Amino acid sequence: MSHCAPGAAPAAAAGTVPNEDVVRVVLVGSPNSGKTTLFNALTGLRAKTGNYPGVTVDRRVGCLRTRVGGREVQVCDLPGLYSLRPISEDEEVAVRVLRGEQAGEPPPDAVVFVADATNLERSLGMLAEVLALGRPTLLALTMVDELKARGGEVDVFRLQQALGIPVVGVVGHRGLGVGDLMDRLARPEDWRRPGASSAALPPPPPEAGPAARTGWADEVLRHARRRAPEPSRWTRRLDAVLLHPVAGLVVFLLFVTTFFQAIFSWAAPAMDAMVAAVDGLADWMLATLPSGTVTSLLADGLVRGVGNVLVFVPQIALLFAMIFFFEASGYMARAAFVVDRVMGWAGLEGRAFIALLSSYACAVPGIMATRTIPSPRDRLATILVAPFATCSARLPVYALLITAFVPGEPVFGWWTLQGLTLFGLYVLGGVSAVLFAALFKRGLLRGAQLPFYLELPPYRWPSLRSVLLQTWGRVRIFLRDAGTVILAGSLILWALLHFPRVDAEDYATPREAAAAQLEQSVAADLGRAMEPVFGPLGFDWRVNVGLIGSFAARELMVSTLAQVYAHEGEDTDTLAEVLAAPDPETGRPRLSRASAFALLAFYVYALLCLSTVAVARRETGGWKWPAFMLTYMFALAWLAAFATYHAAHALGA
Amino acid sequence: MAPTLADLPRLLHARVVRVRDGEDRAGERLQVLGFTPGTAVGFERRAPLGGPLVLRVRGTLVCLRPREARLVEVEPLGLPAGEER
Repeated sequence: MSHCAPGAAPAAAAGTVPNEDVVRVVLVGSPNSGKTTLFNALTGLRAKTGNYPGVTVDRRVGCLRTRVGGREVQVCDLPGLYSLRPISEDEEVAVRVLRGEQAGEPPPDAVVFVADATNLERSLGMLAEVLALGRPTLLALTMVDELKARGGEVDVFRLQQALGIPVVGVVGHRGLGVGDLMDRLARPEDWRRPGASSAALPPPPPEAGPAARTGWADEVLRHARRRAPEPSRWTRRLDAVLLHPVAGLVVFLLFVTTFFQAIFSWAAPAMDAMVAAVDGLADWMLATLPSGTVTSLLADGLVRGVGNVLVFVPQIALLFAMIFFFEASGYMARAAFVVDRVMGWAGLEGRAFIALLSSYACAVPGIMATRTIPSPRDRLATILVAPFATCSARLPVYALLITAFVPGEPVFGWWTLQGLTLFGLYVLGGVSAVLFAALFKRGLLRGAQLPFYLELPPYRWPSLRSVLLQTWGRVRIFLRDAGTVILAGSLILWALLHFPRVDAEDYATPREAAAAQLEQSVAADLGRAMEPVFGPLGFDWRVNVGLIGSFAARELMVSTLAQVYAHEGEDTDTLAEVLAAPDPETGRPRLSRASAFALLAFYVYALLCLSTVAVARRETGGWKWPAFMLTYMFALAWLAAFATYHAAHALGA
Repeated sequence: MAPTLADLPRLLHARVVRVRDGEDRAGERLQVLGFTPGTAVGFERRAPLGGPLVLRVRGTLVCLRPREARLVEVEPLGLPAGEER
């Protein structure tokens, strides 16, 4: 990282021809500097998303294009940085792009350094490093309204003088100053270069340490007649409660339980509507189109396959909206502080908590969120346990089995036995994740711990638009990454369930034909072949077919079981009713309560998700760790299910 | 031994004198976060039972574990002026 002299960026020779009409601007700043809000304000509605030549940087870098005064401006938002000497992988990407060392990516034409006006004493230090790169640089001061409100002051004109570069004050979430900044982005050649003005204080050379840079920052701020703001009163008051040893813990527990309750109950109507719409469309196709293999492929394979992906969108969107909201509000960092002791015991740090919390929506973005963890060992440990977090794909499986096999008796207040069981499964996932992280960090991944630090930003009211845009970004990644895998899995599963074809003419009713089709399918053969492994857990071949489905993605369990059991029970029965009702031939329930509990235990631990395997391979750079994850999680799931099955039997379930 | 940030609760307010290197460039990162020699640091709070500390430095609140806090040697300044504690 130290071989780079300004202007001698190797990527210039990487074969991409920079488009002269496009101004490439990168936003650089420390975490919590308001960079992402500014990015969203700059690019917001006017920007076009899409893949442009050269924009292959990394999915951590969001780039958007917009037209300003006849010129195309491409703005890229880099991950937050504290220094140009990176220690996390996230920081490394940002520094590579900034230095123009990212393969296939031309060096940026200009840099917008984003700094929070309320803590310039800290953030200006990195500006010295950025100025040393020698690219046209502009300082965007965010939170200027907050600076005033807290009694602080800075003379922007004198700050410009001292720095020798343009300074623009903005209030990102209100859009103030954004138009001015936008106009300047189109003409970086007009920005004065560092050192152009005689009044400018020369920044220390890049090899000087952080102390020299903060010294320079202090000098610049003295010149700019800076008055530091009072500590935020709100932050003090809220922290007195939220960081309190007892009250803080209570609030944290309330926060987490409400969080899950909200995901579960608020997203439910939208998810139900989605399921109903997809089922309606598929049924309509089956009823209207001429019956045959093609119709079945379109309706049962394609439409329901797409439905299997879309059904999770409301929940994932809601979860990310909440995560981004609480992150931007400043609470997430406090939550990391509150759980730091637990995380520290597990050998992890507060940031791992945020990755695990994200994994409660979906392990794919959760694993991607581990990139902010500086220590490679901590990061790997977090990846290895992230799939234990109860992702939303488990929810339909849990909901199905709990509805069918756990009585809905009220226990206390609004809590029911069903609700508590669900909560217990969520807790079991989280506790297992922490326990196994501790195990890995004490064994397999033992080693020195990297320094831990966490900035607690002032509490701020998040910009709704920024939260929504970030959420949309994550939903898009989910649709692209997980969606393609799930859809492909659904189509393969359809083929397994529908081949070899039986002749419907041979059967009296379509229902009998469908039942025979299933009995003779490849999937049924596979299910029966799996009986030696899963028999001890109380799973019969039909459940095994469901498990085959869930290897593509967990939620496919439900739709697969629906297909497997579609021909049993009355037409009006729900899947849960069919499962719990006795089989007319044997007189015993189709799925015993003990098997159902064993199945729940299996789902807590097994890595039944191709998308997670794929993202783990990409993030760990090989098949070794995903193979390890598949193996240890399967062994654990089998043991847990075996123990549950026999314990439940012994207790008479 | 010189007092460090980890001893701050009883000092409440201090000035950084020296930052030890620590492992994995910990000292450098602490300086990047604002703990450079000469900087005043205020103590905000500490989680019980040896948990992390919250410190005010250069206009930001930073949370450190005692392990890192012990790398920052300080001289006590006493109660900051105007502090109502």
